[in-house]
Amino acid sequence: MTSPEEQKLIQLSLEGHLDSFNRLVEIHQDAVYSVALRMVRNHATAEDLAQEAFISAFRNLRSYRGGVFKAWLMRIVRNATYDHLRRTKRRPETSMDENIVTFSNTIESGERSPQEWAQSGELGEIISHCLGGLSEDQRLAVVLVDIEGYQYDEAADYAGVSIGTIKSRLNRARARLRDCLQSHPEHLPDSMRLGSREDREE
Amino acid sequence: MFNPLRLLRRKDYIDDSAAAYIEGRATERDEAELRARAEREPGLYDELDSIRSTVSLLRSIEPVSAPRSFALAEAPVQVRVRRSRMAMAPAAFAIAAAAVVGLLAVGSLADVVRQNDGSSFGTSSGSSEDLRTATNAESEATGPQGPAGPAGGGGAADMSGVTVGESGDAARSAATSTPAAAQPTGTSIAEPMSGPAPDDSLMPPAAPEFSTESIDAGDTAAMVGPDIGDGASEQDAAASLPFDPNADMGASSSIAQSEPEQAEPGQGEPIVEGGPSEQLRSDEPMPLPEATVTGFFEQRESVQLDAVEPSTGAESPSDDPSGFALPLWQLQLAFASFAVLMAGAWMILQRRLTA
Repeated sequence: MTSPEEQKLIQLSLEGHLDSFNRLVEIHQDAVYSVALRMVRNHATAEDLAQEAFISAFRNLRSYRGGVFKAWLMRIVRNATYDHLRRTKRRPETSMDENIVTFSNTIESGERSPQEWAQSGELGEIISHCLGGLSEDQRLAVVLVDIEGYQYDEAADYAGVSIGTIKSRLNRARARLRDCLQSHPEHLPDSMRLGSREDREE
Repeated sequence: MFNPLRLLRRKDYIDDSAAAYIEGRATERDEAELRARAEREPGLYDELDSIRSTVSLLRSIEPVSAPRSFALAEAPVQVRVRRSRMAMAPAAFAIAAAAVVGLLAVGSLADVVRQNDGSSFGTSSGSSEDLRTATNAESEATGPQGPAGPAGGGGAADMSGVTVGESGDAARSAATSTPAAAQPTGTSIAEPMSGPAPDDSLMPPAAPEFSTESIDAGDTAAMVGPDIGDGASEQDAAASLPFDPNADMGASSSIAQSEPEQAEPGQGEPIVEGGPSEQLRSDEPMPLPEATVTGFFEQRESVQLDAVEPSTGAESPSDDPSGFALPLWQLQLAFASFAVLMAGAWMILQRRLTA
């Protein structure tokens, strides 16, 4: 549910107080940017999409009919990212200068040696590549539940689908990701390498 | 490696208890369920563990923070995208072309415009009749006595020339009907087509019947009708022509005046040797001797030439004051194609502008 503080900020924003809206932006900008980044895998594009989402939210604030404000905001981001991905699919814009997110510096591994850094960089590239191979809906489910850590009901609300749909998309996405990652066994942690459970336990 | 069996099993092994195990929140009950399943499905834990590792790896990705503030410096202004007027040009062309098609259709129905060629599409009956009249008048002037007179289909053309001056359907049916269809009408119009091809020199454009009962002024007018081409002028022409009461014009006048259904039995049947004279009934008058038929043609031709002289048969349909003669269906087709083309161009343009 939207907190009372958020409700008040929304009401003030509806009355034209930009500062109140900017306070809402500050509350949600990390989540919005993160989802955009995981979806499009490009820092600059994610920034643009997040900014567009907030501008669109301000313009269409009157269409907010209550409920969880974050979910309403996330649906705006989802639509923005879907539109961008479809545009890109129609007219691929591949640039050598693109700052593709590879998760290379975002995988937690504590203190690492240079070799481990290199390995985690390669693993990050593989994760990014495998996420890119998922459909938009499956990718959103994985991003919301497995990467961002939202509950099923929250993720379903953000994605604008039912919980069953989210679970189904998530199961398929996880299995596809597993298959994709296991096709690069040399970069995987030992726990993920193929082999029976008994073998691994031994 | 793609394993289709894995796809088949996937639906089964990921249920709520399996999902709970994958996410590390399985209860005792979930564990018990999974153990029971694992006895039936030996590879179950391998599958679930590999997915569990994948999920752990995804969850190890650190959260990211916004690199900057996305707060709005000022309230965004509603910006309306103004599209170029040129982007609407194809739509305007499409609408205009569709309007032209519609106007032509309405004009055709209202008989303001008509087809200017022999096509049957979108024509008014009068115009095509006039056109046929002009054409047939020419051929008739030379046809029956020419060295290479028509036979079969050519005969039909001659026949249609004879019937010009009739209004509408009777003339059209005479020009186009099959012999079988024409037979019950009792007229001679299509009969030359049904029998063996007669001698070219004897092929009559209208079957003269040796009966003077039906000769009157109207009949005369009907007979000269083909050469005039227009009902009103027929009367004038008939009035100005010298009329020879000895000339036999009864048959053609019967054709001109009577509806096919009302034709007297035996009237208008051609009296040509080797032709459809087999169909004559016993109560019909005797066929004319050849000399009489020839005389009829001489008489008819002289009338015809006199009447046709001012109108050489090249009379343009556009001279008809009742409307404009246009290549109607060609124009409609062209404008419709243009409209479709422009509509398609407009849709593509809109899609690109939206993208």
